[in-house]
Amino acid sequence: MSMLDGVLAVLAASFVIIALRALPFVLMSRLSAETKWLKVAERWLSPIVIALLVVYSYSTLEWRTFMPYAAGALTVLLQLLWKNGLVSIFAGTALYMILVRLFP
Amino acid sequence: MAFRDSLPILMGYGVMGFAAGVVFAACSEMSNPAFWSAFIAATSFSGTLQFAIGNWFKDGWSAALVALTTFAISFRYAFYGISLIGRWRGIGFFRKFFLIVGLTDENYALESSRHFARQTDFERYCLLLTMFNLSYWVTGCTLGALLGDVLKIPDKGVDFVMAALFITILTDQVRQLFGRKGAVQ
Repeated sequence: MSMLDGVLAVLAASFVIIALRALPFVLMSRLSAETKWLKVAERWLSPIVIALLVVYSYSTLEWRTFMPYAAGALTVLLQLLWKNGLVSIFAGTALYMILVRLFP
Repeated sequence: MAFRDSLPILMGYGVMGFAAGVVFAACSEMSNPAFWSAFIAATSFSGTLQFAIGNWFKDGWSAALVALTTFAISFRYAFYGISLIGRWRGIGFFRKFFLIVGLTDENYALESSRHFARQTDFERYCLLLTMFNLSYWVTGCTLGALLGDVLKIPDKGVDFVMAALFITILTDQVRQLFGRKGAVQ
């Protein structure tokens, strides 16, 4: 691929991604922030999207084995106990890294 | 707070960006992969794209085809802003534009779930978080494309860090949604 074609490809991808991320702000800047459904969306959309991100990130792991679920359970348990995100994330990840080495 | 929240992402973006850089250098067949990897990371800030685009380069895709495919694999981003419109109200144009450019899965998850008493603190948190994470991502992608063939880091299983980040945020949110009424967020 030539230099020019490469630059054009990168800029095209960048434009599409930024436009998608900006879309709601452009579309809804005219609407009032107080509209009822926007309040509902603020409350419910985020947990739903994050739940989908959990499912998606599991699909990239060894999801047919028990390992990511054990690590996930430890993460949830620590988060419920101590509410310390860093501790939960690093402990869960450490357990998963150990498990994938023990049960390759 | 922003730096603290960015630490798991340093680990995740560092390793994932490095891996994406290695993949790009291996399959794009470009003469200066580190430059391209850094250029793509700094203009798009998207893991999915970063991993996929190496093959498109090799196959010599046109900008139109790149745009169309990027649209298809990135469509979820169009939903992220909806729950931030109200919360980002009042932030200046250029700052808001920077935050929108940086609206990755991970930044969205953190920004949509963290609550501050003062709006200025929230704005500061979002800006710092985006700056930290963008710098991790660009650094990871550049180093991966630069050193990928030379270094071999024992990263097997480290990809769980992103799942774990989303799990902790979801745990907190579910606790808030179904927990005591009027609990401090």
